Amino acid sequence: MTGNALLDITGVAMHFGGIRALDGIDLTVEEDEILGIIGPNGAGKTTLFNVITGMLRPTAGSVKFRGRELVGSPPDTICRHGIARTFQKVRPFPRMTVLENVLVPILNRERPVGGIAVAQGIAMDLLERVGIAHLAAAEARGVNLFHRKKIELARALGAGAKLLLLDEVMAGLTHVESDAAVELLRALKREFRFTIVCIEHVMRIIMSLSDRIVALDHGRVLAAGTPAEVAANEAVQTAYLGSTHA
Amino acid sequence: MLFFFVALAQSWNILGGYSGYLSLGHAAFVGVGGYTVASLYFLLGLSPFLTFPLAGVTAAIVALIIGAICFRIRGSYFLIATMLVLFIMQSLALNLRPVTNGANGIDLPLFTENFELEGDIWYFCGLALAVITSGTAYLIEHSRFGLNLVAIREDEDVARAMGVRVVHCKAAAFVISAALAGVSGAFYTYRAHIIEPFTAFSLDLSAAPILMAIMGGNRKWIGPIVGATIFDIISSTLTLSVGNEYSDVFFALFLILVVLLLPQGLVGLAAKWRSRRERVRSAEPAAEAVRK
Repeated sequence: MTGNALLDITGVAMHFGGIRALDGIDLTVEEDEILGIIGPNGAGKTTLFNVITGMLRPTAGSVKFRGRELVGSPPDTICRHGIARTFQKVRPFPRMTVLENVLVPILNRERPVGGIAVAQGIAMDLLERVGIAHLAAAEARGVNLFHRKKIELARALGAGAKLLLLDEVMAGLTHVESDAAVELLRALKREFRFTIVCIEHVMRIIMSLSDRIVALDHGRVLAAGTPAEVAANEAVQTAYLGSTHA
Repeated sequence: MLFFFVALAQSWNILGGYSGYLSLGHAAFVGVGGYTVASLYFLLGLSPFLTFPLAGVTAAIVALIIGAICFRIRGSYFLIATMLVLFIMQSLALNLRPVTNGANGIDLPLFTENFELEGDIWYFCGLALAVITSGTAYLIEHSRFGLNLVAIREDEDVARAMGVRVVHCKAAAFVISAALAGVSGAFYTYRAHIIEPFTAFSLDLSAAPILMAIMGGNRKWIGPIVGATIFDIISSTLTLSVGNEYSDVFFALFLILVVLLLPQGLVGLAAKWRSRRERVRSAEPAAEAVRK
């Protein structure tokens, strides 16, 4: 079953002193799916992303991407293997232009794209696809939140990733904006053929976007399954809404 | 002196301006370069003119060693660590007497007996140095390497997550910066015909390129050139008008003003003016169209 998994996480634990941010996570991500991760604050969702991308080294466990062990590799190497992420608190390079922001991952791909001019062309295409080509020459720090999130998305695409980790890309967006973002994401996925793991708090969005959902709580996998199954799960309801016996 | 200032500011800026790693130990590499040519003359009688490139090589090697240690830390800690490196170098120069002649320093010969020719030679050597360092900065700024350095300055962790080989980039920037500083140091030393530990490894010489780069604007290759020119003009006028003791005070005041009012330096100010003029110009036809 796990033989053809794109990402295979087994027994991952991340302890900070006495705090167990992740406490034995087992998770697989299949090629081409959209996996949603939900869970209350402090459940360990972002920590899991940090472990996968090499920004944190887990206390125990293994993370395999296409059969290759990632634990112990630095973030730059993992990115070059084909995993890119966005950040929950958007972090574009503030005093670089929007275009330069997207150029960075393109120019640092494992396979060189062949010169800055070519890379600029690719970057402009990506900006066009996500709908911020008109901001190419603007400094990233002056751009509004919706567009900054699009910079993050274009940057992750620029890395040429096969697996995209999206950390709350919809948070803070209006209804209309987030619906547009879901459409955009689906269209981009069809075009560039990548797999998505996304963390999201907006239930409406994640339930409709995901093929499969994993609920985390206190660093453990609480439930996994189709959106409907997870939504109906009693443990998940308790974690979110509190126990009825309390 | 202006050419030396340009080279000094430009070489510092490759690390400090682009990658944002502020080094207060830049003079360490100037001194290492200077001592490379001076000691080779002192020990073996080699002409400093022939050993210029070697000054760059030794400075680069020293930078690799120091970088391996100092790049483990960031921000103000990096600043302090590089400053300590400077003092370590100074005490090495003081105490490795067989090589450096200790506190007495090393005297270097004139290149020729002909003063006019000597002046010309230094003029063109200095010019070449300034052009080479500025050219290097220009090339870096317009390359993938330069973009990566700026990404590191903006957000090192994100840069890393985007596939930037952060460790390699920082090491390369430090080594290039040091090598250019080393060659500049050799030039400075040979021109002064003397080297001794306290002027070669001085904090003043470390602070000067920072002032110049920040005054001129440390984001563009042209910035250090502008900054070095202004630095040269101001420091010589102040020395002549109020004397050495007070010139530092006025200088510091001027720098505070620049940092407060023009964080992007003078080049940043010029760019702002230009973009405002362009905006006005592009707005005019539009306004005209509306009027019609």
